[in-house]
Amino acid sequence: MTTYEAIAAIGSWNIGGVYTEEDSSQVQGRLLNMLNVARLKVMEMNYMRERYLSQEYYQKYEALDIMEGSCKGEFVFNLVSPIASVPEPKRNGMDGIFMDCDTSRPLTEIGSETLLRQYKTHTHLSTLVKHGVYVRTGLEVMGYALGNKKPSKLLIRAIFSDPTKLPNFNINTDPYPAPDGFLSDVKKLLLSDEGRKSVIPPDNISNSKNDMRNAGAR
Amino acid sequence: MQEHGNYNFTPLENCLVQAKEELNISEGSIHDVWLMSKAIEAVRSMNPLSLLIQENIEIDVVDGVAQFPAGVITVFAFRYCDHNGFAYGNYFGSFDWLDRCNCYIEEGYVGYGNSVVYTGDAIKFIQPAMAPEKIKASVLMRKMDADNKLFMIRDYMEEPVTMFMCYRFANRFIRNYTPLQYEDWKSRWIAGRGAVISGDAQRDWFNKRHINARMMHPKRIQIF
Repeated sequence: MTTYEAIAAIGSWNIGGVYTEEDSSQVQGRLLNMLNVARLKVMEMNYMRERYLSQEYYQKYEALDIMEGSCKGEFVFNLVSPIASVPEPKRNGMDGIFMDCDTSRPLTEIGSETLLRQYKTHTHLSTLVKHGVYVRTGLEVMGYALGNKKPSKLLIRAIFSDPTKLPNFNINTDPYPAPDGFLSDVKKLLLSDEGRKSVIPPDNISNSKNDMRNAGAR
Repeated sequence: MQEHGNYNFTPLENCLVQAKEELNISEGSIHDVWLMSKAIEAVRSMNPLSLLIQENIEIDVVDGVAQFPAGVITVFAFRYCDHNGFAYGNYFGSFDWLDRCNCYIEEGYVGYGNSVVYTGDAIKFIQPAMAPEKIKASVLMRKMDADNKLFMIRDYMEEPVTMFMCYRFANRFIRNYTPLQYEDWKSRWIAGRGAVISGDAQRDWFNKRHINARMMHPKRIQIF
């Protein structure tokens, strides 16, 4: 299922009314946003129930715009999209940041910068990190690679909040990163009261005849 | 003499991979450092005899200091060594303990005292100008991995170490695992720990049985 097909499927449900005054790109953007939010919610619900994250949610891309940090051996780059948060013990949807394609082990993620600085001077914890470490602050990733050498490129595999922000992602041809049968869960979520509150923003300009608030106002 | 029980060494990181599979956190590395610290804790708690091995190593002497690599616990004896790895000269050893037993060894051996100081993690030459380029030492050490950072363990220790990591992790995130899992991991750690310690003690006894046999059946005691 491509992203375009997923958007078209959600559009056909006519949740929140028919937006006749907007052009098609605005509607598509709104539906895509709705789809992305619903995807994360469905993923979290499934994870809480089954304690399992489908590999279909993951995407990967190569970060090339890596800059040197202020300290020796430090590198900094920005992610193209926020990483999905996952309930504990996983904490986030990051799988790994790899120095090259298939041979090296991943850089180790550290929970906070405080811990990172403390690990650097700890007698035996400092020996545990073999290929480098990183800490993430929102979109910014700051880390140290082994041998104080700035990596030229990094491969990132994670669950991104907005899958379409990845470089070279094509809405029309690329598959939407979600497992089969996920649309039925999305529909259940969007049609539930909680889904309506969290996914669909309050709408005061809609001309929808199906919107109950507008109908009551008239 | 052939050793009783020939088990392979495996890196401690194997336990991390297995524990993450067991705990269903196979993606991500945010818990890696914590889990590895628990692995080290488990090995230190068992303190297995079979991890201590005798090795012959070459150490560079820099500014009159021969710094031991990670894992070295004590040094039995050493010799000077040229840059090709060829050992020459006297054997240096710490024979204080033999002296205390009135067992003097003088021929071919030189005590530490006059020329070098043994400080626990390094050998320091009192006169750096007279120090050799390298030394070749016989040491008691833990076997380290290829990166020389973490020690290796025997393959039969993987399970108890993994179980300890899972048990402590489940203790940390108590709501995410069932009581059955928690108890399973805990009991397998306790049983595995006992098996490693007792098994190592048994193998150690077998490997030294010629010494034990000699002690039990003395043929002649010569007193000078």
